[in-house]
Amino acid sequence: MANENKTTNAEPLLHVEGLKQYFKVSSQFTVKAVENVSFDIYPGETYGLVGESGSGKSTIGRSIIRLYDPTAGKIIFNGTDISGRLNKDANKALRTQMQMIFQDPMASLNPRKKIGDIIGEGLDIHRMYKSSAEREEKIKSLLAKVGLSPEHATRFPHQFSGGQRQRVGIARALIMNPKLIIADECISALDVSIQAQVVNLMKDIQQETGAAYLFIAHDLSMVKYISDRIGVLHLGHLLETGTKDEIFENPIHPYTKSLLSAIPAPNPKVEKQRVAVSYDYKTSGIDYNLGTEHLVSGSHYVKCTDEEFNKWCNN
Amino acid sequence: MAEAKEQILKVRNLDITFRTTAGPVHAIRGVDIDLFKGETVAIVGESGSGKSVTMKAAMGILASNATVTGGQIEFSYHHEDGSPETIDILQKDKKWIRKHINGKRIAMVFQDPMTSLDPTMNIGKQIMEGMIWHFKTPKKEAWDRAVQLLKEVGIEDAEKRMKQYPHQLSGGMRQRVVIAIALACNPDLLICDEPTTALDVTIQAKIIELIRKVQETRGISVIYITHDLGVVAKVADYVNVMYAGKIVEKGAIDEIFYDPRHPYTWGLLSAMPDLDTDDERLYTIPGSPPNLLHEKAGDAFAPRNRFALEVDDKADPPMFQISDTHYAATWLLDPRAPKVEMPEELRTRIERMKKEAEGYGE
Repeated sequence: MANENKTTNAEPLLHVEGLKQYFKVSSQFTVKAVENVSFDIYPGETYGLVGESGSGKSTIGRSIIRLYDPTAGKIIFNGTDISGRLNKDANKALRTQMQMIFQDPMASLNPRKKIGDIIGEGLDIHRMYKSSAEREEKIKSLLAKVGLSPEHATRFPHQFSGGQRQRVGIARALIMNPKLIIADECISALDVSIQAQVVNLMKDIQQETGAAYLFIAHDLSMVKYISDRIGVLHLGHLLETGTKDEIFENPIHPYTKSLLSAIPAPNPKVEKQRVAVSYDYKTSGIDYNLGTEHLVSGSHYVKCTDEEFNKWCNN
Repeated sequence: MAEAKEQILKVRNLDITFRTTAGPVHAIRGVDIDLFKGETVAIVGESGSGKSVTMKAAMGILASNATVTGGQIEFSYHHEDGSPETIDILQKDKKWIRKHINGKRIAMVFQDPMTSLDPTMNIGKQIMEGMIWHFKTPKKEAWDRAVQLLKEVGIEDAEKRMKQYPHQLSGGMRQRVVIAIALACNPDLLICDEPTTALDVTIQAKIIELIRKVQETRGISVIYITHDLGVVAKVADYVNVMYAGKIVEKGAIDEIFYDPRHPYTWGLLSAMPDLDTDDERLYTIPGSPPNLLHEKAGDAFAPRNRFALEVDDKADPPMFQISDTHYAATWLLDPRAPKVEMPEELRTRIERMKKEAEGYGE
């Protein structure tokens, strides 16, 4: 991958360190959704976050783009700290240079607005055009970029199919020329044949604009296909992170192993014989809170205790 | 498999139209499905291809704006005294189906366990409900059976769970409860409508293994509706590929995965990301599924098919037979058609899959 050179010498675009996100439910009970998560995203690369539902992967995305206020930890985006209170400049930088694509294209588009206005909303808010002709022009060129035609700008969301709506969602994120796009399960609501189209489109756009992606998903085969590096999340802990080859060729943590073995392959003779490795946190005897980061090789880290590390690596 | 297999379900020429405000939608266009005792048939297709509607018709639970415009759904079962009986579900009224078929002989597992369970009723009551209603089982006996069922579907502390409510269980657990409810009346046929789509991969693997185990021990037949070909590879004996309300290819599982003939099946198989190669681009089927509101002449898949022939725009292809069990509806199989091979990438992938499969044997 061309991106591997960048990862070694460039400054990270996004640096997350010790991120914690707690939600207070009542005076006695706090949900610890994200617990001490650290990772970096470099310019132009795709970082895939995988994990089961409730593992906190969407929460991380939302904390980074500041839909939530992080409980603790540092988020440095493009050289600016965006984890504390945002001043006016930091806020503006964050809102223009980081964008999000949501899971459900039906729910994330305002049904009472025309597609052109949905895409152009960011331009309107930040007053990024001189004349209405320029605004029109920008919207049209974006529609073309995501594979829609210019006359679609005057239509409403309900007139589109799911795949087309997700293209609108992508166009809306792209119009600000963001450096980082957080894609939160952006293909899981789409049909198989449409998923491939959207993923290809996202790859093309990345090559053209050089934007970095934080790709959040539970479908590991898609994550492997699109990501340069992958982080495996379980119960709010980042258990294992590394390049996609490191994770897929040499998974260390038992949870990662069970996750990889659960992917059904389209090969009936093999699949009928195979039994997925099961993993249960309660009976595994692993306490995520005790784990520290251990280097396996290159950029491949595992979160575990020294004892567990020796046991897993020597097997 | 020389001995005559016992046929459970026989769908012939099923035709269903929906009345909508925009006009009639011809959603199911001549579907044939066969299911034999103890086998699993998978129906694969994109959303809107009509796979759920077909099965709802078999259960007699179609929406009120649907009209069945033709066809038969023959369901065979045994009475309690062992005498066989075959009925056409489409000829029976809703009340009769409700009393004799639903839950008792055909049970269904729905996609979303959060919405298919009653939040105001405890788990035990929901499992016992069917038994008490259909067989007038005494309450004590029903309770014991329900506990047993919960154990069978792999829920620990079954007695304690009986008194709990759906919100106290996790998603995977809820789907296990739904399966227990479906099994409560000893059905002959279990219809699973995307049973794992709402679940995580790890839990999906467990639920699929559970359904397989239940099928083996009870010898029931299963219809599996899904869009995930990986899941199909794991569970099915026979596969029906559906597109725009028609079955475009059907065959035994090995025929579909190792020797697909229809361009749509090629597309579906190629569009799955492959864990073993590093392709730069995913293969895609261009365009999107057709809107059945505007019916057009010829093959519904033709506009998205890069192998489409001229005849595809004029006439709908019939089912061409490839082997005893393998059929496909594409003009490419007509003797007059030019010879078209499956895409190169798919062929190399299938070759590799076959090699991998050799290591596993039969």
